[in-house]
Amino acid sequence: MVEGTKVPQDLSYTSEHEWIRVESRPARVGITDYAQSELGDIVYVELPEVGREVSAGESVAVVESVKSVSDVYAPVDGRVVSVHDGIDPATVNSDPYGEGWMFEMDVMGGEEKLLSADEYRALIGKGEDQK
Amino acid sequence: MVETSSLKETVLAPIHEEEGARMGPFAGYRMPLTYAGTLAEHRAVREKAGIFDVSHMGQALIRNPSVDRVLSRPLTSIPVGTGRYTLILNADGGIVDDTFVYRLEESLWHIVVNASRKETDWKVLGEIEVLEDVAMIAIQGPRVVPLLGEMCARRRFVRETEVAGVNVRLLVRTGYTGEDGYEAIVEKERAAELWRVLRRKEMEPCGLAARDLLRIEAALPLYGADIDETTRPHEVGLEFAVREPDRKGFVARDILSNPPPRRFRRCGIVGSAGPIPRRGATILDAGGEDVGVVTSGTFSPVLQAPIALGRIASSKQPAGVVIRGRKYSVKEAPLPFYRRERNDG
Repeated sequence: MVEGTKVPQDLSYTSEHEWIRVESRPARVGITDYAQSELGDIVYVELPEVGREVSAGESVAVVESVKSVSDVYAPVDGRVVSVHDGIDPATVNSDPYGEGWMFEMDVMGGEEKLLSADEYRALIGKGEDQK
Repeated sequence: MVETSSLKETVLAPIHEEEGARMGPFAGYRMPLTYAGTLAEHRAVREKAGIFDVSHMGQALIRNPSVDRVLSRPLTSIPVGTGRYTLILNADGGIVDDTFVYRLEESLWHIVVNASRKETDWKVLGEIEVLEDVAMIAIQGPRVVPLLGEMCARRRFVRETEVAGVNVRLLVRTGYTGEDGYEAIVEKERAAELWRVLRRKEMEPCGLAARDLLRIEAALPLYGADIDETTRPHEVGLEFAVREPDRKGFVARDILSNPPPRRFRRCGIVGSAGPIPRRGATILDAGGEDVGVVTSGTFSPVLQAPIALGRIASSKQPAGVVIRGRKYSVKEAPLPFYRRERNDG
């Protein structure tokens, strides 16, 4: 199941399966290839309000697949400065690190808790989806 | 997390493994939820042909016609050679289960019940012969009859026949997807062979997630979601399954021969692009008053919109739903949401 799952080296990750591009300002956020594959066909994405201040681990968005509803958590502390208006939910499945991005944040802290690509790969390799 | 080790498996479990299915718990069984993806499987069934392992369902023979004291129609009213959608009812007219009953011979019926209700049903039905040695594969989609041949008419069946060269105990022209097709009840030891020959005919394996989506579009109820022991047939659009309610000995005779006013009615709702109104979501009327509840919801690929089945106060119209604390407007839709073009009489 993990075979063929993409984990780009230049992104940071959370144990809840979000990715964040921290070196860009603002930092773009989405869910990982592993997450989209676990969720199945995504049919709706609920995005956060622009301007909202969030803490790392706070639920900020929602993705709905045919069968389930899942929260998307803020990977870091900060403020939501833009959202992917008009996002096509299917692109979260087909291009999770590109067209499937969800929102952008001004980062105000908490980056030290993020996982590297290698750490994230190790996490999903262990089948850490038993939550 | 459900403890997976205590789950039962169907005889096709090794095949699902081989097919790369994502498995999950359903009614005490470890069942395939999806293979290639729910939407792809939905498309296969709506446009071509899909196969489902439904061997978790309960199967039994009935020889004593008085078993119909708990059935919504007399067993003898089902013509030999045909099958009928039939409810098991309690004394309050509540639905114990929804089933299909096929009359094999003058005094022999075959009943197929929901996996989640087997134990209860067997107790309530009483004098039956449970079949433990069979599996069931649903074969659904517009290409099924062209590919396998016209083996029986709608709601009819054939016994001891061959499907693509494999012996099948009972082949019925019914289903739970809104499409034409068959359901094959087969000896356990032949189930894998039947699955493989159907796959060679380019029928796609489909999981329970697609099955749920297909049945909601077709407005077919799911036991435990849309119907249960507290709902009466005429409150959930199933009065067509009730025949001769004033017959002697019928368990719900008192209540259904002169049914009390409906406490609620079944309704279909369609949203605009937005979140899915799922089971438990509150339904509002145009005045914003809480008038009902969603019993099943999904995203319909056919309508490209969120759809739901719900229960609503009889005199009310749905205008909105509450999802995660927010109101979204919806419209009432005629049911079913999806109706195939019929060419099977």
